[in-house]
Amino acid sequence: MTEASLIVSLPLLAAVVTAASARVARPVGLIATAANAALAILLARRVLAEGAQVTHLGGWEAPLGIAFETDGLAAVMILMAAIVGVAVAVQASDDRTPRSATDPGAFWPLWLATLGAMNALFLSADLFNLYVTFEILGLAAVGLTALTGTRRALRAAFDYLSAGLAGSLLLLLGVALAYAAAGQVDLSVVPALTESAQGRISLALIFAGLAVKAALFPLHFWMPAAHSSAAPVASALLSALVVKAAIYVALRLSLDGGIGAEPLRVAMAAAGAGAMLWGSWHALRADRLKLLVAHSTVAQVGLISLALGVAPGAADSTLWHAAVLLMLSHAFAKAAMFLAVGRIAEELGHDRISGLNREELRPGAAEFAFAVAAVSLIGLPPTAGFVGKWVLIEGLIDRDAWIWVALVFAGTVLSAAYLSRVVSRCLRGGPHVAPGARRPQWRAGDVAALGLAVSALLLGLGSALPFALLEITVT
Amino acid sequence: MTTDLVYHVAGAGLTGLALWRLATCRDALRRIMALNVLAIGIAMVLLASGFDAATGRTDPVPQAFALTGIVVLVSVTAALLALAERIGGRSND
Amino acid sequence: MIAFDIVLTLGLLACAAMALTLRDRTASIAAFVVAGLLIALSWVRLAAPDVALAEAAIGAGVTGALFLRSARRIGPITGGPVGGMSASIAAALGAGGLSAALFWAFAGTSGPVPYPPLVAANLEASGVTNPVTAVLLNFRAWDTLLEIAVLAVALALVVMLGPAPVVPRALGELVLPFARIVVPLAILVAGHLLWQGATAPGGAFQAGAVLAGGMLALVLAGIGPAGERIVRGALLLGLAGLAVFVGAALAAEGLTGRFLGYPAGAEKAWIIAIEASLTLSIAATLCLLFTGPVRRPHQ
Repeated sequence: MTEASLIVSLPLLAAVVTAASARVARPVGLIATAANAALAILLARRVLAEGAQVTHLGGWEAPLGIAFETDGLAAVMILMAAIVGVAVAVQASDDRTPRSATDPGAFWPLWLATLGAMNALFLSADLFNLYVTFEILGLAAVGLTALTGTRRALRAAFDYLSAGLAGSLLLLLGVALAYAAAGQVDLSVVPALTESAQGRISLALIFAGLAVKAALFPLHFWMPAAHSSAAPVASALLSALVVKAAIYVALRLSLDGGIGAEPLRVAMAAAGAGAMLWGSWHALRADRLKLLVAHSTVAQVGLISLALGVAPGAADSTLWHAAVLLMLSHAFAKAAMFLAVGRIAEELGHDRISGLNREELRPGAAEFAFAVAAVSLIGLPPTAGFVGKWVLIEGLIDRDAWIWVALVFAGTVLSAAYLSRVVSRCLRGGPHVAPGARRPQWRAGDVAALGLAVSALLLGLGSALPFALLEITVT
Repeated sequence: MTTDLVYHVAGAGLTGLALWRLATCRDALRRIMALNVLAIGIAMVLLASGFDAATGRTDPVPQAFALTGIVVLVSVTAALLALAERIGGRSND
Repeated sequence: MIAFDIVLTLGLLACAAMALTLRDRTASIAAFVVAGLLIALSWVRLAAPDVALAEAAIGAGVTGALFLRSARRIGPITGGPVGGMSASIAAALGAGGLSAALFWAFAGTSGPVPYPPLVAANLEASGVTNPVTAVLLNFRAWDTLLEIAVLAVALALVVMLGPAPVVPRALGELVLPFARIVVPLAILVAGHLLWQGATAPGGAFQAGAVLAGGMLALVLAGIGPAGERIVRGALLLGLAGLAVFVGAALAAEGLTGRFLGYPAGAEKAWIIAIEASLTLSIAATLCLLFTGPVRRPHQ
């Protein structure tokens, strides 16, 4: 058995077990998440040692069959999902974490299905197969959104699923047109698609569907409500991982499409710039902490999309490597942030930003984790966010793309502005805190949030590893 | 004029009809139905593309895609309807 | 036959338009179901009988039943259309333009078609003679496995949301004899569809949907113990399909070294075995998607 087939099978099997029995859901879920992380590491080691792997499922070669392509990019993404997953699972396994009002064990099957779908998506080299993985991912993500069972969450879940289905159908229409134009739907057909008018329309439809799923401006309308009304563990997964799946596919297609995908890349960069400004503006005005963090995801997805848009294809790797590092940094930092916000809201009993100035409660580990994550999102050294932005700006300056440099700087300043709204309130000590103020208790959630925030920090120092992995491609 | 051309027209028509309804209607149930019609329109242009008028056969691979699409669609429809029942009808107000 | 196709598609478009515009919910759903049956006919005309069977059973049957259930619970349509007449016309023009563009894009293509010769060349090695089954359960079995995962996640989601269970009501004296005929018939037809799927149109999805129809007839007639234990059993059965399929994929890898690569010579046995368990699981899942779970005591 290879790591690739185990890493897609194991989460699905565990999802079945946890859905069947709520009693064993927690231990099985934790073990499966840990085993998935171990498999992700083994997979990355194998890719580092032996180069990219191509597996023809059932022995049928593409285009008739479906292939798994395990290259460096796929390995990095699988590792990202595995690490964020472990932290989120740790928080979710805490008995005291407030759980679904509808079904106490419902988190685990939904999370494991999300994980299995994402692993399958990162490995898949077939357009139609990608569509099916998106459907699992979409349904499981909607379940995670609805987990709290509140009316607001259910409404957000309904809008999310409607938007997700519309996005899926756009994607499916694009795949259908790709079939009509080229007769086959494996990823090797993408370069041919860029050569005909029909093929280009098909790619545009696919990108539009992906933009809905990645909540890329101006198709992000469903996202702030969904991400801010879900339970903290669910928001962390949705914001850190689920939107990345669509961005990953866009990157994959943009790399495969080469120079022919240029108009799509320009559109992505422009939409990304719009998202950065729109998301930052709303984050500056948000009155609730979770809403601020959700709008910050819109802005950060914009930055990543901008980086992908200005990257000129596979041959010149600097810029898209920077984009991938920004994706990793955002995954860790944003998951840490949502988990921290969950803990802060739990201690305070609310998540109003104006109410973060408090006298009776000292800042705890969650506030610290939020601040560290904020440092990474803003892109200060030595975090992964810093390395990603540094490489991106350096690459842009090399190409004399000064407008984009200015936009990236503007986005950075804005992110510093909206995140400092929170950090400046959280970390204030001294006269603002009453002498007898209590300290929040340590919880599993604090460990998870801190662990992720520190991972984002350390990834900046250890960014050689993802860069080395990304060099490995299928030849 | 060939068979596949007729179904290309019908498929494009169904798609347009569904998009119009999605743009102009707020009722949750009706929007879900419009998404179903949209999916059927897509399946129709897909199968019409796979149809070979000369031999009268259809490529089995898009047939499998259409079948998968039908099953995926009924799953998502059931989930959407369960959510719609919980929030009661209107999709935005 | 072109004339027939034109009449059929015109009727289809008319039914779809009625389904999307009639203000009476029941009439609109009836039009949707008729449209579904006409679409099944179109699939037959497009030489896709497997898809036609699935569309009639699932697209028209199960989906129509789901809509009827929800319509009864949600109540009549409230609120007018978005915007006024001018907005509606603008949307119609936009949608019309898009649909014309789509027609141009799809009808203008006559690219290469690599699949049919590849399927034909490998059909013998697939273990079945129905090319669609060969694609679904062998060449692209991974798609089908993930599709079963979609069903399982939808099931988990619906169970979590827990809509009100469908309460059987007295449907009149004819229901009992009707169910007595329908249920054994459904089981026979399902078994036949499943078995013939290897050689002729049919297979797990069609058989599962027919079986689900039979089970629903039982539920609606209020026959049989519809207690918590039965629902729990149905839930386990519904989830088991995914577990069996993934297990088979891994077991095949253990035997042949290829994920989802069935042992040579035994392909047909593997495919039929997988399909048989999928049929039961799909039937249970579709049934539960319709009836919903039994509410737990604490709610």
